[in-house]
Amino acid sequence: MNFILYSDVSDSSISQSLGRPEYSYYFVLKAYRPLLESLGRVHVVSAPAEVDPLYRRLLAAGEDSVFLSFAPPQKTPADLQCPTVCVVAWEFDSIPDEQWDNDPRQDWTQMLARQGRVITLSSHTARAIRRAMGEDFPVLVLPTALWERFSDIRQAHVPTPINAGATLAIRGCIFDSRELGLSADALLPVPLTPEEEAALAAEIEAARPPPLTLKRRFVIARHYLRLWALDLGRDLAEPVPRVKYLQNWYWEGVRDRVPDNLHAWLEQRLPAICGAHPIPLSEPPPLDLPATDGIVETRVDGVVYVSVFNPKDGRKNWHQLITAFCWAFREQPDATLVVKITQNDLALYYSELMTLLAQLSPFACRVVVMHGYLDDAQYAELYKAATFYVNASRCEGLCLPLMEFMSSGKPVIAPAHTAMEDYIDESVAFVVRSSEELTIWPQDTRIIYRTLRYRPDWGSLKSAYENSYRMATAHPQDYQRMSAAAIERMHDYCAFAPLQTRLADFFALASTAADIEPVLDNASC
Amino acid sequence: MLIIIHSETNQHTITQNLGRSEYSYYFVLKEYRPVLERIGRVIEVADPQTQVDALYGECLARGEPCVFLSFSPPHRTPVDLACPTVPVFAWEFSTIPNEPFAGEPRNDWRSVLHACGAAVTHSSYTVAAVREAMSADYPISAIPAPVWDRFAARGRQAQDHCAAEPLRLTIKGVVADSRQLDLNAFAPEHLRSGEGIDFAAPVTEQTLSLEGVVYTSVFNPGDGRKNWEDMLSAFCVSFREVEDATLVLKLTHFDAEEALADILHHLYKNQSYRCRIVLIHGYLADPDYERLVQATRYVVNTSYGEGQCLPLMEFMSCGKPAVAPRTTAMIDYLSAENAFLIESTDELTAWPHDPRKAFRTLRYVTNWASLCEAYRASYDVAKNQPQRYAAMSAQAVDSLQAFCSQAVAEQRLRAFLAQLFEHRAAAGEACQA
Repeated sequence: MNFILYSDVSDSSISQSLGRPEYSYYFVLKAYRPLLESLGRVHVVSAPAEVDPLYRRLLAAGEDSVFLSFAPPQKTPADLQCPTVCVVAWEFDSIPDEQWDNDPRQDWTQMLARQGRVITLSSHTARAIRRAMGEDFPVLVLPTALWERFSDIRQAHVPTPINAGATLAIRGCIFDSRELGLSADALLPVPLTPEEEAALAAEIEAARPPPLTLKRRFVIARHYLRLWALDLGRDLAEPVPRVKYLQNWYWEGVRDRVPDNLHAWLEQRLPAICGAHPIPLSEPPPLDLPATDGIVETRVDGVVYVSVFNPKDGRKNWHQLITAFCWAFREQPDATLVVKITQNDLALYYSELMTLLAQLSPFACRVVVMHGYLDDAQYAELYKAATFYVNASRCEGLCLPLMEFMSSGKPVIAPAHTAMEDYIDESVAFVVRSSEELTIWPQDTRIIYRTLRYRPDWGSLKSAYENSYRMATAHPQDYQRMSAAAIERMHDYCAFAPLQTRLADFFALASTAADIEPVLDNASC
Repeated sequence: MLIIIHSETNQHTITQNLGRSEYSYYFVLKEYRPVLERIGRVIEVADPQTQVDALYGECLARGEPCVFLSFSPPHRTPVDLACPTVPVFAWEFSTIPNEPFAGEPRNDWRSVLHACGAAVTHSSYTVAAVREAMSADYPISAIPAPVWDRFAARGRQAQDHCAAEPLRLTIKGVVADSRQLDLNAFAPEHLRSGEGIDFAAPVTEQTLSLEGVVYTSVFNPGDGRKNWEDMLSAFCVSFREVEDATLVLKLTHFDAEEALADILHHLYKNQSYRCRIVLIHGYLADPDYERLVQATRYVVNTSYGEGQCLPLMEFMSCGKPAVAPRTTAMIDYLSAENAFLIESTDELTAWPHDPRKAFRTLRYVTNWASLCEAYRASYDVAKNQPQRYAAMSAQAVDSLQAFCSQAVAEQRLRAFLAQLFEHRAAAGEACQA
């Protein structure tokens, strides 16, 4: 069997795509690849147009192929000869079953019916698909096989509830709440001193044009009418239309003499001359952002919570993740939240983050934000440094970082909704309660409520922080038990062999699969 | 005794202030006034800085006790008057402001409450928050605006009418009815079609006919605490296929377009539904307001917190059970016997007048699924369990009588003022000694 794979994001474009909506498809492709390689030959194409020629070539050689499209159904070509299966990452309780924008591909039920089967990442998505397609529709639930990847960390490291001290390094920059000089009062502009006020008033006075005497009006008129008559703006580097001079003349030298009740009438009749000048937009001052090209590091210790997310991803609910932490631990200096940002552009979230931290200050606990790129060794240190991983999302298609930290033996704080219902419960997590709420399908330009996501309960999230801290500081045996349960859970959920069997069964490759050597050691991605 | 009263919004400014901050203090003053008049002479002043101490001086000369009730939040209550000053304020957060900000020392409410020595609020929830910041014995009394007597009387009258047939209301203002509107007029711009609402058109009289199971909510959409998005979306989901369920939103705001624009967009966004949504922006004369109350089966509140919530108290006093969360002031008068309770959770937020928006206090977020549950259960009771409905209705009247009757307010005000003067006399003697 040949597996032809395509995702909109590729190895070469991923660094620019970090944080874009499709980027998770790239990680899924990467994570599926070893599984697929263990069952057949894998071809990654760089454009959908390459699929059919490849398919025909293989067919001519007597080989079967299937095209796995790591893209949502509406972005998957519908007219291929090659059998096509979508790999759907989805986090809502219904799939689009109607079309809009005159685009039939928006109706997933049509697309999936044509393909005849589908692969998804969670039981939650599988349920949503079966609700729309019928109970018998073939759906493969295939989380990414990542348990084996963490064997080194599991062997080298015993999770401990209190971190005695660890160094975290990153190529990029680090924001540490203890070093930012945070203050809620600093969020307000500083009122001017009487001296500054006087200086400002003098400046405004000096900039005021001289009084409009008859002579001055004459000077203004002569100046602008000459420019207008000779059309002297035509040859400027940025050409000025002639009528602009009439407009300047009217506003500077005439308008104050026109009765008020005529202003609007004139503006309507002669908009080019009597209309107001556009108000110049004042550019906000550029942000003073730190350098991000060097390697920086920091020390963390105590009870360390870690979360990995893109602040521009609306599902992550990261404001609550941080506010509940700071409120729960406003008097606990030994509680630290390390946030690893997966968003390349610091300017996109810097002000929002700094404002949030200032609004929360003062607090005794510590928030460390890591912006930039972690290499494998640096990432390993982050896995090891964590006491708990935190997720407070409104919905998840899978949540790789959560699975990674659990595979490293870290208990978590997380809600048990959407994809997380497959692996989160009280034995491995402090479960955050949540309530449903209406939302739109993200690609639906009509923005009509058609589906549900979840609203994590802030009070419950705060309690989860408090309860987990109590466990870490007072009940280390319970912590060890939860850590072991997390490892066990991930073994059952995303170890290589059972997923390989599931995938083989789905493509009816069971017999060949049995002959294939397990490729655990190569399963890194 | 002379009781001087003041609120920043008054009868002359109320129309243009509808929906602006602190406007509701005027309504509270109005409700207090008849009760205060039973206790002493009442004078309403427009400018406390110039008028209060003059009146106080005259009282001193006569030996008449005098107090100034400032219907204002503490940071807008004068603390430099010779006359004993008591703020009467509404509050719905877990903590009171206990730090100064924006260069105003009175923003630390403790400084005002210390200076005044006593205060009046409307709920035991807020009494607890104040005492937490001040001391366990700080003199503060929970006295809700006494609306029960007026509305209970209306409720009794209304019950004499037959509620089976449709009720017709006349409204001077804008009425938007989901059944008559082309909802696509409120779609995103690239999909917009059909005729919207011409807000520039002159205000005309509209007739509205209401029947079936009517849920009503009265609120100011500019007030960020009301959470009408949940109220509306849960209603549309719960009654997607139910034709005789109607949600009436009576909106209080000085600007019709501003009040309605967002809500109209959500009427579009929640499509499609067979239930009916009616938005009313405009003035209802007393008989029409009464007919609205009469047509209503349930009064709805989904807000993040309430200082007391006059409309909820009014409708419940008339015997209308509620769909509402039992948080903040509503703890004092809601129960499973008179309401379908919505679950909620706390959430960190800022004091509403803090320009820094510093996170310092908690509000309460409704559980959306539980709101849907409450809608469905209440509809079932209205349709199929007349006895249970009648019992809840009677319980609503009784609970509100215990909470906000004039008798309760009078008794508490008398006790409060007696204690206030006693304290001051004792403090005066201590000073002289």
